Amino acid sequence: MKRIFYGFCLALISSVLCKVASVGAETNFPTFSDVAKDAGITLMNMHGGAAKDYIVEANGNGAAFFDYNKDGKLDVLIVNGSTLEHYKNGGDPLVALYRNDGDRFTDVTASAGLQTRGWGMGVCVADYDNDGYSDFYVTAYGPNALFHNNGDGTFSDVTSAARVGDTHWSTGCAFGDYDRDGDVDLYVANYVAFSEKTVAARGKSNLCRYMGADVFCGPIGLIGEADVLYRNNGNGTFTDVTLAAGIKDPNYYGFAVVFNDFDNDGWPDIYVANDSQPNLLFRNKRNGTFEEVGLVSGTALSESGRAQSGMGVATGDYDGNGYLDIFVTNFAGDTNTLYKNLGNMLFVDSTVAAGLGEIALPYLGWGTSLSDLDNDGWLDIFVANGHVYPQVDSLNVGQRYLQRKELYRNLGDGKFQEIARDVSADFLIGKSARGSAIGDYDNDGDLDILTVNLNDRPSLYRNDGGNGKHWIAFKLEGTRSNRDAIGARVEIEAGGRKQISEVRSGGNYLSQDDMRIHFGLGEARRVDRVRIRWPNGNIEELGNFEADRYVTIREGGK
Amino acid sequence: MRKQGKSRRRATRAMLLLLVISCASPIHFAAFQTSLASALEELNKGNVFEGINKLKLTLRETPQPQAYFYLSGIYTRMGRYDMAFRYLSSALQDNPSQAAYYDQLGLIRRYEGCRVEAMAAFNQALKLGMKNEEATLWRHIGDTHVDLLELDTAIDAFRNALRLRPEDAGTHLALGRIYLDRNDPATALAELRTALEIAPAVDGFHAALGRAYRATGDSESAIAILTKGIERDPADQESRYILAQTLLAVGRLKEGRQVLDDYQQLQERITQTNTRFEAGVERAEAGDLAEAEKMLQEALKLAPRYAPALQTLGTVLLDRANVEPALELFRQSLAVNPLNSETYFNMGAAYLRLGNLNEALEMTQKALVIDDEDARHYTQLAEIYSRLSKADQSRSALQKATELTSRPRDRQRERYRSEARRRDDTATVQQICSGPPSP
Repeated sequence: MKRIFYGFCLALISSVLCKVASVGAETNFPTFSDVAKDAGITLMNMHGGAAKDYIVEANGNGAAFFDYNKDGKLDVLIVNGSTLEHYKNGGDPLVALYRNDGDRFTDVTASAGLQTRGWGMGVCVADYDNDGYSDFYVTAYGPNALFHNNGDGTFSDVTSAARVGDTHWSTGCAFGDYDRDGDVDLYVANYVAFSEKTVAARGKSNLCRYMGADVFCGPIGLIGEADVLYRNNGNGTFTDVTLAAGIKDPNYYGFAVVFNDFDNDGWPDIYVANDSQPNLLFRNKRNGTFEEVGLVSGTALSESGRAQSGMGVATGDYDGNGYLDIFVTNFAGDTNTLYKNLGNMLFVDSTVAAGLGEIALPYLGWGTSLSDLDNDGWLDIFVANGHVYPQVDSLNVGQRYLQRKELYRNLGDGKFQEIARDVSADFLIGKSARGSAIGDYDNDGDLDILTVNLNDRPSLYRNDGGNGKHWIAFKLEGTRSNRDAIGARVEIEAGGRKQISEVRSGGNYLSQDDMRIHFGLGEARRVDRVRIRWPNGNIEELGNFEADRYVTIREGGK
Repeated sequence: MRKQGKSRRRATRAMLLLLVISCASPIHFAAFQTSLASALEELNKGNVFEGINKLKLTLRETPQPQAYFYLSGIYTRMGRYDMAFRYLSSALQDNPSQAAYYDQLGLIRRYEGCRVEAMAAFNQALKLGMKNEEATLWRHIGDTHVDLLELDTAIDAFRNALRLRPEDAGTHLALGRIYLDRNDPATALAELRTALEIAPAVDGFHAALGRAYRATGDSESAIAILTKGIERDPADQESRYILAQTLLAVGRLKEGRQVLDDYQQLQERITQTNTRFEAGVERAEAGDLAEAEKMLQEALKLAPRYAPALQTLGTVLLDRANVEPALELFRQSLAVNPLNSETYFNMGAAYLRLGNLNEALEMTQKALVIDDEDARHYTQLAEIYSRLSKADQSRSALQKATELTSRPRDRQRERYRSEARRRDDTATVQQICSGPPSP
């Protein structure tokens, strides 16, 4: 159904699209079409004025793919910002919730009781109270908010009762069960202390310039805000344990955060991408505390020891060595960075060697994923781009405000090839994209991509043809572990190859990917073995699954 | 920032080389007036302050485009691009067909971040013909293409530079870096080895070569060259970080962690110094001079030769009426940076408070040698002359001050913030690394 056939293409679609479809076919990679408008996802993003006079207007929003009504289909939540003018009067709608009705999405924000206003930034999803329904946390410029899923299609704002209403300017967030006690804890990345009263507007300070043009001030020169770790008390409330848990964030400008087990010891570690400052990697010491090992592990800086401008984070085992690698998106004029995990908490910057260097220089990356978009069993890289300075357009310096997407195909030998031009005309349309979420919203076995575009409507890139190869996906349900099984490690063996993945909340850029674990299987028609390490450390071995289906696995069950 | 600082230094070296060439040429030398030659001699001896002074005296006698041009080069080096541009504009007005002036204009524009305008100026220089200095111009063009992310054209420009001057280590280094970033470590290695043969002491060379060796899988050579780099320049944090990562990757964990510890300690000192310095400036601006003094003292404990902290603490002490200790700090600041007009101005103010009018006059005049566009300098001069009972000179200075204040571009100097503005990270690292912290 999703294939674009030549005849149809020649008749109805422009020659450009035809070319894309045909080249996509030649490269044997699926094609992507922006179907957001037809699908009914049309929220106009509000995030400051066009000139971007202040930094708060530039960083944009994220989105989530999650199944809030448990009907087996991914719904969409999009976080919205505001403007300085509107914010003085309470701001704009914080989120928009779209219910997936199969053929279309329906805006159910109002009926779901989600009419809160403010200046939203990002979102992360988890069933924090293990009642079987997915809740979500929204970060904001201003107070953050935790929304409890009432199980009847509505949500309640429980921020105050849960004691997670951080009032700093928060950006990324992620849930993870760092103490393996069966409920998910919450990490909130904070950015800078910003006030219109204390930060000079664009053009009012000769220090705030980019290549000679007046631009907004910051983040360099502004005071950073420290991140926060909340422990889930198991009774609907959380406790700020940042200091007790050893989360020593030197007030870096935090953006994206993700819980993952990077050293394969069964305990979730935390990685934080920071803007203009070193990234942080907190190794879980298995006693409720963490040790910051970013520098020692090689994940804090670039290959030459330079702090970059970390925006988004993707994790995944791109080279199939059994360890989760880290990909961080960065500022224009710099490369994104691929940290290859060598084991023993040692990483090496493999950006250039992997073919991800020079080609990315003109782009300013945000949302990103390491996911198998063509189901060949190797993780590809998607990057949503967009500059922060509209003024860059007048400079003629090889960078544009509205930028295209990047799509890197994993060649399976440690290298990537950029193929966006070959697989999607819509990827080439300039947008100021920010957060992105990856998920199979139409349940056809291939991964689709949702992006939030600054001061614009969102894009929903439908994957057409990704299911030409085999695949399998798992929905895990914790019983003794947290209900969403966040942190569970799944290892499969199929076609003679092993692959790993983890159930993950947060990551990307201010966004939440589909929590179901998806594996491309290439030509393999079945999975020979499945090994699940649940978040509490219990291991289950299962075997013999037919390919091309979603499988729900309950902890301790069949 | 570090890279920018290095290119600035390289540009300055090229500039001074140009001066040497000009002086060495008998034909040119004969054409210069004696005073101009004398100024150039001072510059070539490294007496930049005296060189500026003599160039300005020369200009008072007979305005010459060459003198404006040299002044422009010096102010570019000092990071005072506004003044550099002003002098260059005068040079261009007198001689609009001199290619070297457009090359200089390109440099100023590039350092200001205006890369497109820089490229236009370089192209104009190319059109007019740079003769013996065309290789330098191509190098500048290549650097600007790198800034603009146009790496293919950058390579072409660097190749042009090397065709004209094959022995330019800096250009080989620039090419090596591009090839490294293009995942062509073998070609990078060839370029960097050539650079090594030509000039083993080029800045940034060891880190780049270490990266290249590492990328080709020759970890032992990488470790050797990076270790050499750190021995040569203990402030070379880039080499230190790459060395640590290389050691860790080959399993020499203990050594790798030790090097990383060193790296981290130095980074920590830099961060702490900056944090305390910033906090000191902030407290001073808020009027809490006691706390500002404390913060700045702490910064200086970590980095005793950190000129911005020396200068700002001196200003704070002066404002707290601790004149003698302030003077001592200004002297130390001048020892590190003898071209800071703010320090001379403050020393003048300190001597004025002590009633040492001759010293006050000397220092204020020195401030004016460096910066004759700051109204405060003339106001202070007027006061000194007044107390020396030189009414005419006082009136004249005051008039000049008023004239400058009324100019649209005159901006009120920020008393404590000026050093924070002036500071760049290269200077921070070098000055912090240049000595151990105080006990």
